[in-house]
Amino acid sequence: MPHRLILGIDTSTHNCSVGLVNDGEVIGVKSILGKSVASENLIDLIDKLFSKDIKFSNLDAIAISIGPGSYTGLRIGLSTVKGLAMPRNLPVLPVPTFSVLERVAQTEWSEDLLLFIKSRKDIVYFTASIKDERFNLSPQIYYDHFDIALAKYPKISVIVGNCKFPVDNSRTLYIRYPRGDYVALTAWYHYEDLLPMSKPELEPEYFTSLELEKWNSKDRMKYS
Amino acid sequence: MIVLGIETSCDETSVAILKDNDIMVNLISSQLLHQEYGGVVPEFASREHMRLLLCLTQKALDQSSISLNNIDAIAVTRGPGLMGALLVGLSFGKGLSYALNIPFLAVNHIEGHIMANFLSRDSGLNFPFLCLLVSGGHTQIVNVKDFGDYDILGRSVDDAAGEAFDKAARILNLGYPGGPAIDEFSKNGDPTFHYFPRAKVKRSRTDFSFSGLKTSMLYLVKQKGQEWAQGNLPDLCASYQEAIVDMLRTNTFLMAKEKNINTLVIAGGVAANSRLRRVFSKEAKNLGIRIFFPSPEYCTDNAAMIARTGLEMIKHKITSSLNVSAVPNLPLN
Repeated sequence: MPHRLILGIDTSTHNCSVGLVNDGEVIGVKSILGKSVASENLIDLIDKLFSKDIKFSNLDAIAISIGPGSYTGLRIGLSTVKGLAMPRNLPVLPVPTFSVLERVAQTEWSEDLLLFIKSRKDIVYFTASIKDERFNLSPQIYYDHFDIALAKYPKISVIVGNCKFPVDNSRTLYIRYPRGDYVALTAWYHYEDLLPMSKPELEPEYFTSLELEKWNSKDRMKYS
Repeated sequence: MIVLGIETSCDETSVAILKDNDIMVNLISSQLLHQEYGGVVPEFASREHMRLLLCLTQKALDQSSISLNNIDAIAVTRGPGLMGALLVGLSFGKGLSYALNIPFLAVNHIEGHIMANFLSRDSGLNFPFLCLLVSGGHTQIVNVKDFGDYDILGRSVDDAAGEAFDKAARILNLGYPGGPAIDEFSKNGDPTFHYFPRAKVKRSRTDFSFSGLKTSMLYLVKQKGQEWAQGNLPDLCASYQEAIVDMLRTNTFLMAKEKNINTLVIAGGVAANSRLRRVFSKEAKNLGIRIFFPSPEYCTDNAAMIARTGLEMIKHKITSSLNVSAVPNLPLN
């Protein structure tokens, strides 16, 4: 593979995280955990990854965790990346957030995994990552109550996501976050697949046609 | 000095490039999809900004034949506005500023409206002055002593004047935004057709209250019927508009006289209202007060006024850190 320096950014959850990958090797990662930290800290975190040997101007591409996740978080990440990439016309590589989480989880577990990212209250985005057939760039994403997610995959005992939910004794829930270094790594491995998706009008993966319909009916009621 | 301005506080995505005092380009993309809903849907607004902003910035650069490498500073609206919408522009601006290694200026949107009056080349406007700020979100009388030195002398205790326009327009089925529609219908109407009450605020001669006005319109239409209202649309609009302009005029000129002001500046979206411009110009002339309005295109939300404010910040050696966040209810002072 050609020499490539890739910056990876994940602001899809409360864990604002950035990482740097050089030739498929992680050479830096910085994260801050907390509510609404991305807007204030993202640029600082990115800046800390660079040194006089490895400069921002050496970057070949920027990879961004594209969703699903917190709408505002996703937009802060993608907007920042678009600004960062524009002057040198760097490729902006959109990595599915579940692909990042799958890669994070795979470092610890080799069995089947139920991955989830919280939306609001007890509603989550979720997907199954099956042993020997990991979904890589193409997760099949669902959006529903956490209980429904559990019921859909009764046999998967390892559950990995970004917050706590009650589960019965036969299963264990581990809190893990998608991370910037894994965003960059995923982009490094799948560079050629992701490159055609780099477009100026790129949007986060919101995954919420349902909610739009709800707004629709709510607003109609209010104003009719 | 070339400043790139970005404005995404509400439902207009706007990018402008200012070279010293010349506006090289000022692009505004209004999000029409909100009209269906009778108001701005914040999540839709944020999504549209996200989709459009980079393309609009590229278009602004292309149209003005300016390269990003020639930009000296990035000015972006920090607030007030919709949190999600503000963050799109702010984050994009920070990214640009970091990558280009040039100053970042987080601009107060209200200050931007005031500074819009400095956008015309030979306006001859100088500090200090009294400013009536009227938009969909704000109604304030501000004593502007210098750039960055503001005293708020009066404000609306409930709805903003622009909101009063929008709400009446909704009652009369005129769509969103309501101000321009009411202005247009009023041109053929009789302002004395119906007397809408001019509310006064207890214990303050300079504060405004507009919420009773739309209630008054609501009851009138309920009582007489929508058919009657539609039949008398121009007269109703003209009477309603007259009440708003009248209230704004009374308090503003009271303050102008009391503070012995000789320069009055109108700012914000409602400054585009033709009746307001006529009434205020006439009264100012009678009192020997110089009056300034932004040209109509710079009354509504636009990035040129943000860039202009950024330019003024640089002149005053003010820059912002890349740690600033958006502030939805950012005050003027």
